[in-house]
Amino acid sequence: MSSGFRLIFFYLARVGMVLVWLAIIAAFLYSPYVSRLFVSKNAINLYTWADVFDLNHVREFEEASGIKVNLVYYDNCDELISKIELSKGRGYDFILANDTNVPELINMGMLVPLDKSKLDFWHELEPNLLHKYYDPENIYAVPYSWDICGMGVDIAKFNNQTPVNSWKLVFDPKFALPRIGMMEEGMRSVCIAAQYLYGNVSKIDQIQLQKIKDLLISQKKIVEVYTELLGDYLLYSRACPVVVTPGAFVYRIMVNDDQIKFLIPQEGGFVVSENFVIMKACTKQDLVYKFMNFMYQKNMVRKFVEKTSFLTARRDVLYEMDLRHLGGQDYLLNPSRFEKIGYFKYIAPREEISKAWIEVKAS
Amino acid sequence: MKINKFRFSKLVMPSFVGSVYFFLYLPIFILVLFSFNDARFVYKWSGFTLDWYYELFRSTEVWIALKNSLIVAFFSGLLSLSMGCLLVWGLFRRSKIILPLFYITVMIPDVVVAVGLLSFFTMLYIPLGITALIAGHTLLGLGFVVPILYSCFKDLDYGLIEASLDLGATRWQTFFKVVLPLLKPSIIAAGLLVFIISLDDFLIAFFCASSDSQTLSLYIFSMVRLGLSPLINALSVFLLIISCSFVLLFSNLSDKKEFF
Amino acid sequence: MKKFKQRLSCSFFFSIVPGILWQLLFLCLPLVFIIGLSFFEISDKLALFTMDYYRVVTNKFHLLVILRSLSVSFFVATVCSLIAYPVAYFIAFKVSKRWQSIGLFLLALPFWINFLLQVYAWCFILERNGLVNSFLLKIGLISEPLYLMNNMVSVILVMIQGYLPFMILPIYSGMSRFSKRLIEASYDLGASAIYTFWHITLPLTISGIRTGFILILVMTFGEFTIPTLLGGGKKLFVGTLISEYFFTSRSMSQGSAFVCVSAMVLCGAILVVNKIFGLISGATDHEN
Repeated sequence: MSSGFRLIFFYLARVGMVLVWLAIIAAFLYSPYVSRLFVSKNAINLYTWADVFDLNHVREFEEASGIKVNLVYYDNCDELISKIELSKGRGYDFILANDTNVPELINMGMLVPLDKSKLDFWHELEPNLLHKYYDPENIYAVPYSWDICGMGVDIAKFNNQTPVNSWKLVFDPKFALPRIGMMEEGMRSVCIAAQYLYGNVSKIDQIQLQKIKDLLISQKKIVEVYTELLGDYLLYSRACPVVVTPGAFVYRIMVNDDQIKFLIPQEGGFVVSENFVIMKACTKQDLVYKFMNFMYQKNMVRKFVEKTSFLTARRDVLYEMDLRHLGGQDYLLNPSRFEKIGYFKYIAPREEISKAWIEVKAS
Repeated sequence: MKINKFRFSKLVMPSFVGSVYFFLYLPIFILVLFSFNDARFVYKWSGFTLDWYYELFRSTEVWIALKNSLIVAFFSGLLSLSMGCLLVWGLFRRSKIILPLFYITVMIPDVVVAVGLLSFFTMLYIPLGITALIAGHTLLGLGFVVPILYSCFKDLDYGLIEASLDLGATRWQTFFKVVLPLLKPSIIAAGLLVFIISLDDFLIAFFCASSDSQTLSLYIFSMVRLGLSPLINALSVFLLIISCSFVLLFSNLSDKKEFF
Repeated sequence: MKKFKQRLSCSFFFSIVPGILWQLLFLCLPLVFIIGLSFFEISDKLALFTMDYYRVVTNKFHLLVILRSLSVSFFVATVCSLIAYPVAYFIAFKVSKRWQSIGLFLLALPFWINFLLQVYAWCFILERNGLVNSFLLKIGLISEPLYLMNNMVSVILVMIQGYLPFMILPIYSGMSRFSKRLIEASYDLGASAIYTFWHITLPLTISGIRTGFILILVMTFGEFTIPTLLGGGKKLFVGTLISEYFFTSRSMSQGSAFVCVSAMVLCGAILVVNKIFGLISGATDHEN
């Protein structure tokens, strides 16, 4: 009788020990939920592109306001959405999101509407950038910086003449020189190919996507690198005569080098804009508004433009900038001209695009 | 294969081996050399400068990343060592079934481990971050600690342990006062190995890191993707100096062969 | 020994549980999750059993990616074995004890430098304006810079540089186990160098080669950082495709299916390699 009890006790003790250890491990793993409650009340987390904010400028804000800002970086639009999905929107207070990502974030219900009364720069913003497809009423997103995607060219490789001002330069074998730089994100490359083949369309069907895929596969032979951020380096090191890249990267090199030029293709080119959006899980919205008001100040925007060469949404500073490589302010910001420029949108379902892009990359 | 002729082995073999070592060390030479180069993009020598070192010490991101990496490495080393020692003692040569469990970590590609951890964490709503990283790195560490400690433990002279028990020490006393000191060399070796592996790890951090846990590898990766700044060269020289001193310190503590 | 032959006491059990639990929880369970995920399509809290994902990942594009990774891994492992064997032989038998320690120390030192940093340094060397091209242009061997970056050349070269120590060390430890005198004795008995190698050195060291070969095969098959940083994003490897699925396309089930298929292919490859090495050691043993 007693040996029976001893046997039961024996096994119970072992099961108990396993459960105790499981509990300890679980406590360890889930502890961030608890520690987040104790996090400093005066700190905000910003999820942003890697090379947008200069830490010195952020430090100026921290010293002026006493609020700590943690910057976390992403370098890929899809990575942003993945991480937000995985962490259910917690962990970040506000994001500097691409226009591509904003509709998705709105659909996921992750954003809170902006309180425009708290933003003292609203009337300073460039009207061409407001009321766009991703947030027509600008309820959730306010643009901070933007740029035009086109082609940076090294005209030395074209006998010192400006080559044809079209996407033909990267797609058409008659015009394209080998070793170009192309965009890494599948969606962007597909949009560029679509603009080349079909113009600024808002939807494409399966047959059109197939044609685009074939075009990209045949283009692959002359591609040196698929990259978003190395455009300036590729041009500077003369590794590629043509690179598809945002204008700012080319501008940084152009100022020191006469042979580098930037072309906005006649098919339209693309606008990318970075917008501030505030997450629903944010409990410190006042601090976020303080940061935004600080960063949109004229002198801060001037410093930002000087450092990164990105275009700004602040109209007065925008008109001070040297935009010769884009045709000048009056040409570029003419509303009818501006309408012709495209945006990187999901013109086909995300799964279709990523399947096509994987096939392009795998071939 | 090499014929053991006198002149052949005196000339060809050493130069072959020397060139292999040169090949292995070429990147490190480049890193050190170009950390002093006065130009951002160019691969030509443009003058000597210490500018990049100033930038390195001024940049806070590097130090935050380094701090995170060190915290994760330290704790995962601690955890895997303690669990490994306890395991090895508890199994005590009776390990046909359990020990092979620890050998499979090395047999699985890192990507699969990292992806598995990611799926595991997301399905159970475990928050990603430093704790998740420590868990993952401890797993990697166990895969090295247990085989190393076990092979050393197997070779221990059992007589010492039996003597200790005969003299009246309890099993735990024997563990702490007899077995651990005997295992010290391999504990140190395994601990250092886990530390390096954790510092070096990129894949698990890539998949399982979050807003508050930027590690050194992630920082370097994003810097390389952004466009090469000699700041990284300065950082690598700094790490090289630290590692060299570490290794020299360590090699004074124990026999070098046991390191492997 | 009798004291320990009794069944595991409570305190022992308490001490071995955390290690085993950790391993099961963080390695085995996630693998089960992955296998499970690959069979179910998850949407809105519902899970439907489907073999669709497997149908997708066994189409020719995915198999091409797996094949590419596998052939690169085999190539890298073979080249590493060919380079590592003489080096290990040299360190084990041809140098004094002091130089042996120095040689091993020098082999270990690159481990302490973050591998990403070394990959980054290779950009400097292989770029169009990098060291190799500048040097070759200067001595007039070539007239146009070679394309060494952003293609398979750089990927394979850096993999070899990165994984070579992983091959040298197991072979060395195998060699250090038997004494130089065996080889000397064989020569004294009149055997030629080739005979000595084939019948004495090789059989005793082949397990070291096998360990290193399989280790490198496994590690390079799932390699992610080198193709991403040096491959120019042009060719997909298993590692980059997995990350693409889990991060960029966010289809975890699809990615899991791909992981399972690649893992099976890898297992098959390891079995084949084992068989081949078994045959080689069998051949060398028989003639003994």
